[in-house]
Amino acid sequence: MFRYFLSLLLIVLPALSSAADDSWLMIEKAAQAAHKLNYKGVFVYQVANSMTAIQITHSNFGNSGEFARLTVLDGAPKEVLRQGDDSVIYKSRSQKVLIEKRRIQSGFPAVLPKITDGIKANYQVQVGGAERVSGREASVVTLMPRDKSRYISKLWIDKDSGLLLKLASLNDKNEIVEQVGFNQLVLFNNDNMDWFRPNEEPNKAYVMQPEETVVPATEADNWTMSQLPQGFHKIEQVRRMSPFRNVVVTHLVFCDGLTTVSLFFEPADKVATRKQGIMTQGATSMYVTTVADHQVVVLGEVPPATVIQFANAINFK
Amino acid sequence: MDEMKQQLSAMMDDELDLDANPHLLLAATHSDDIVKSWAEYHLIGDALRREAMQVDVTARVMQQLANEPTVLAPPPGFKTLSLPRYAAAASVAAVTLVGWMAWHGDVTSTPASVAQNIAKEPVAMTSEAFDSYLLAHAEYAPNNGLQRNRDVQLVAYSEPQRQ
Repeated sequence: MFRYFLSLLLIVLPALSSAADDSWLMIEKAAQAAHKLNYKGVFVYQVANSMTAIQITHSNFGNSGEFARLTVLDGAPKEVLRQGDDSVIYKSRSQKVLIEKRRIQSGFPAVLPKITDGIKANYQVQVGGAERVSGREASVVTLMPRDKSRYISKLWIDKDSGLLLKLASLNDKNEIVEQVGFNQLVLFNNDNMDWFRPNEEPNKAYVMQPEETVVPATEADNWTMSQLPQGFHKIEQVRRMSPFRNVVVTHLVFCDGLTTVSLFFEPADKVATRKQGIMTQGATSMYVTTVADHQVVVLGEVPPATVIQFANAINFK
Repeated sequence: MDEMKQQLSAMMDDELDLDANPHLLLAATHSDDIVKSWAEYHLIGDALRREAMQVDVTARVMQQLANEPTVLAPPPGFKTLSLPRYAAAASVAAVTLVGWMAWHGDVTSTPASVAQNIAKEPVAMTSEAFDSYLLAHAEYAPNNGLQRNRDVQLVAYSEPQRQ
């Protein structure tokens, strides 16, 4: 009997691990599909009580790179034209159009990470059957975190094209905190680039907004980090103008292979204007506090307790 | 319209260094045929032929832009709000909004253990500030991990939906 059980185990174990490998491979393929395929459609982004529909057209011309145009269908008119690593946002106001250049190189559905040892150490992959999304058959893949300091990610991957159709972040009670998914999707195959231009508003002035300057942060600074939440490592460290004020801030970025958290700090204002508090918006939490005369802001796609844990880990000399 | 054509021909004669800024040109693309063909030739054509912009030129022009806000083709008679004034207006708004809290997302149910660490007073952080930090976060982790819904956030939240 025992021998029977053992041999069963020997059969089942490799099968299990290869199922996991297959799922990681499926995620890797979905990541590539989002960059390589030509597609257009409408996806809906849902967070808290708000819902935003966005139209996307995406093309890849091999060596010429990727082009995408996103048009926000709800609320204030906005558009994003993406060419390679640059995103240019057009925000239409009553009498002018503001143009902003950003370095965000990809977005839904091209949001999946490279599969690294880090991600495998911090998340377990689970395959969960098939579901229909925007009229297409999708495989459901779940990334279960090792602990409650990060969210569960659920992916719906198109069986046909390999494209990510839907992505949801869930908390430890299995409740969706944020999701984005296609309502309509078509794949196409032609070279026509007529769509790659913003909506034209001849009667408005176009105003370019200035870009930020960013320099690498020098080491030998007056701070140290202790006891990061398990699995997170510092991957970036820069000094930049405060996203909101005219002062220089230090910006640290931490990642566990899937989830990233940013920590900003700057010398604090006089006590009267110091800020403190926490807010969340979908899967994004932000914690603002003061540590040893420094204003510290932590922001990331993690539960509120985790951003606080990061803030508590910084020490100033 | 004539003035615009002049500007655009200046652009095409390289008097205005917009070659490196296809997005600026795109912005100036109106129904004018010349402009359209110019844009198509330079932006789409170059991109497809992979002769697109030179990085150093881009940097220089972007530097110029940073120093001096560029206003493209303002319609006659329309007074364009200059950037310094706009920035000043924004900071005034920021000051008056300090203490503002009813921002469009949920202010979560905070776990009790967490709540102890948080002062009772509201976050003196505007949704504009939240969005700014969110964008800074998104820009600086572009190659790592799950990018979540960054460019969606970018369009959905780069302009606060306060209405």
